[in-house]
Amino acid sequence: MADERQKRRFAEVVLPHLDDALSLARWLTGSVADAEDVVQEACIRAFGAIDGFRGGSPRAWLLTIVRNTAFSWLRKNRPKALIVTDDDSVFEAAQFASDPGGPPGPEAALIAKADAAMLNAAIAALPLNFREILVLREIDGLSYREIAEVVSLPIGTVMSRLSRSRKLLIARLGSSRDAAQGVVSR
Amino acid sequence: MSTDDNELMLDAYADGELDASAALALERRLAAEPDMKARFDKLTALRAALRSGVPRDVASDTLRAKITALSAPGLPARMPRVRTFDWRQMAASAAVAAMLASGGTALLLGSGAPGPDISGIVAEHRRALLAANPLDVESTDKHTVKPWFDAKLALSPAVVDLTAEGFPLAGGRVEVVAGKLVPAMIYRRHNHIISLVAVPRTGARDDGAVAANATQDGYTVTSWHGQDFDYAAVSDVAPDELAAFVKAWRTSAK
Repeated sequence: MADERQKRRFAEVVLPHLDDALSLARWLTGSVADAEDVVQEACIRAFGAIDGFRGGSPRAWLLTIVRNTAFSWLRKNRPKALIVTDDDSVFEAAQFASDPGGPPGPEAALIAKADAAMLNAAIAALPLNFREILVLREIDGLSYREIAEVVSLPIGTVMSRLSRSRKLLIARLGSSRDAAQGVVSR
Repeated sequence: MSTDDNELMLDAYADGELDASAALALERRLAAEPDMKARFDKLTALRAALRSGVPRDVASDTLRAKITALSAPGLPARMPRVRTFDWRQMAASAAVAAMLASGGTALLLGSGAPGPDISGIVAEHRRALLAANPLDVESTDKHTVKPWFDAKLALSPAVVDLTAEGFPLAGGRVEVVAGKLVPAMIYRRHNHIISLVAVPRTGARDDGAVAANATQDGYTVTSWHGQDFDYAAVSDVAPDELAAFVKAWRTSAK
């Protein structure tokens, strides 16, 4: 029976990746309750579209749907959160003007000591289109190719956004004063 | 190689995305260039901090149960509805019931229970609870709900207001029972919801006004024959509460 086959497939493809789906949705929407709504809706969509999944990475496939659902949700409920910087170079000029970049110093030690609150604040402060790539890589552990598939961007763009996200986090966490500010501004 | 490309190469190396020859070249540069090494140290410190310092999200049992229920046998797939208000709280209790019950599908039907397809009605009720919003039209006013059914389905079942009896009307939705679109009125009882499905009678008029009870998957279903419709009320409220609802409804609808 086609319907039962569809359900079996859903159970195989979707259910193992619920935690990753939830984490992506939470980092995009900002709250667990909203993330649960998004994941639920995404899973209903995934269920309807399960026949369209033809191999490849099930996780990337599901996260693509979660991401699209989260963006629809944001458009409807948090339109301000969607003011994203499409022009990466403008973003870079604005955000990284103060990045010292070079000499070895105590920054690596400071970064290593960053606690959960600092890290959360620093990630949350990233612009949405940079945050999603960082989360897909560092939290969900996707490869570059999988990330490119999820966000439908060329790998080169994925790489540069990931690199810039990390630079921004390093700049924030590399000085304890900045990190403390990050917590307050959240 | 530009500074930008250097950064990308470092990131790709840290992420294990470089092939062997590129990785070898980069390792040689790391050994020879302190600036690059310093940048790489910060990068690895950041990655280690993210790995150990950011707690991983874990889907709650409730969420997992809801999603798992999508693939439970016996439930028809249904498209999500647009949420118009926050239904979560109200749906939560019923969703937990759905979770606990999703294992069994045994149908314990009252003797000789005639009328509508019980398991289909229960499945629709559960499906509606899983959707973001179980209502297609949200109104506590029967004068809104009844015309809505009329316009939508060209069917006009009795819609009564039972607020005084403790079962306020929440709205209505369209269900699919045995392949036909039928109206369902939604009432609330505390944090639970009661779906009352009205299936237009096609066969001979039946005067067997006796209500028949059935339970399935933890839901109680009470069905009876009305003037032009067969009715079935389904909910996870206590059976005596559902009985009180049915009695109040039938009294008001007369």
